[in-house]
Amino acid sequence: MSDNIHLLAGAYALDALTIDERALYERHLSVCEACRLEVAEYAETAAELGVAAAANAPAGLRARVLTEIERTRQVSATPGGPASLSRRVQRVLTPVAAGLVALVIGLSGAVAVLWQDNQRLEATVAEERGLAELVAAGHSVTMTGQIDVPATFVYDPDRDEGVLVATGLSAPAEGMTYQLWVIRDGQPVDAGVFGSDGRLATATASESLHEAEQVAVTMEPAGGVDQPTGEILLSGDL
Amino acid sequence: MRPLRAVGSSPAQMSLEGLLTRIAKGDQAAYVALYDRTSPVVYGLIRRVLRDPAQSEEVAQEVLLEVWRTATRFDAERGSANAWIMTMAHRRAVDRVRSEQAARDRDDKVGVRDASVGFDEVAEEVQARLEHQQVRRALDQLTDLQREAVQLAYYGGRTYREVAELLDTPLGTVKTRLRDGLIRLRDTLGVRS
Repeated sequence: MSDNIHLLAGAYALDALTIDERALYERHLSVCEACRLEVAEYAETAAELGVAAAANAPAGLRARVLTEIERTRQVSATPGGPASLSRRVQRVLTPVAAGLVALVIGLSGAVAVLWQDNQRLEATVAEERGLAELVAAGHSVTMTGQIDVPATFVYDPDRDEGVLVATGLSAPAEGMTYQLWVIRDGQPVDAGVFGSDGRLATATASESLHEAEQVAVTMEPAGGVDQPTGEILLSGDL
Repeated sequence: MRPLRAVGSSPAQMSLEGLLTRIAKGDQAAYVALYDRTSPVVYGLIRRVLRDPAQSEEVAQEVLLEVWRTATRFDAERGSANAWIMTMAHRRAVDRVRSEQAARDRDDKVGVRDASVGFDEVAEEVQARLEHQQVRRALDQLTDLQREAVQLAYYGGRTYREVAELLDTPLGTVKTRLRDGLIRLRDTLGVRS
């Protein structure tokens, strides 16, 4: 079977991937400019298919939506801007490699199955070294806490890089986000926000791990907060 | 087909992109203008995928609120406002269809959808109700396999695996047909990101 990850652009743009596949493909997108451009074009085309299905919206909807927006806060534009965030993520977490971590740590059966199905993806992964090297560095900490999901923080103190990989983490509540914290001298420092598609979640620590004692995860209002307000859902000692 | 660029500052004359920029600053009048322009396509698409009117209305409300909530994150360099909104609408509709399906599969261990019925329904409904002549003509230019695959995936909310099963076609072929089908549609419709 001709099975190249680049060929998934069409299926992705039509939302014809499963949630697992979508997550993997999005990680591929974060390092593959060509696929990103291709998907953007297809999204325009798919949108035209959508426009063709126009129908009159129910009369009551307008009033309800307009009432709702009065009391719905808008999210702040991503701190540091979306570009810098994605670069930060990219720096450590070469995307499909996140799947590799899941495989290496043996966390995700679903991902493994997908991968067996897509042997060629592994070739792509082999090219994407960053996270593989991180895994090879051999430091991993099991994260435990209120949430009972397999979660591991993989890090390399020498390169000062770390990635959280959790499987089965439910999507954050509406208007909320997960936030990663690096604890140093007993003080939590913001290490970035992340979501979860309910299957595989990965988060790259955007804060230095130097002299850090612990990493922890809380749930916070969308966009993240300066200091944790939610309870510690997961934590691990470095 | 892209909305005209804003010439004046009246919301009614502004492009969707211009409206989103204003909405990102909390401009409710701009949101009302955007609502009036996009709610038919948002609702229509969701309805096409979900079919159930009550659920469609619920999901449409979520999506339209999400547009308000996240307008600050819209980035015109990555694509049009129309694509941004429709992508959001489609994904929510598809996710809802799949979670409903998962729930049904849990309740009912048989859980196998009647493939042929599902396909015919979707295909007929789409053909009968496509209002956009241009899109219909563009779909007509596709090979049968491309058209069926694209419609099952996009309007039917099916995964490419399901599409492969429904059309009794190898997975790799379906992936390729979805992609080259989109390329042909893009070229016919003349859409550029």
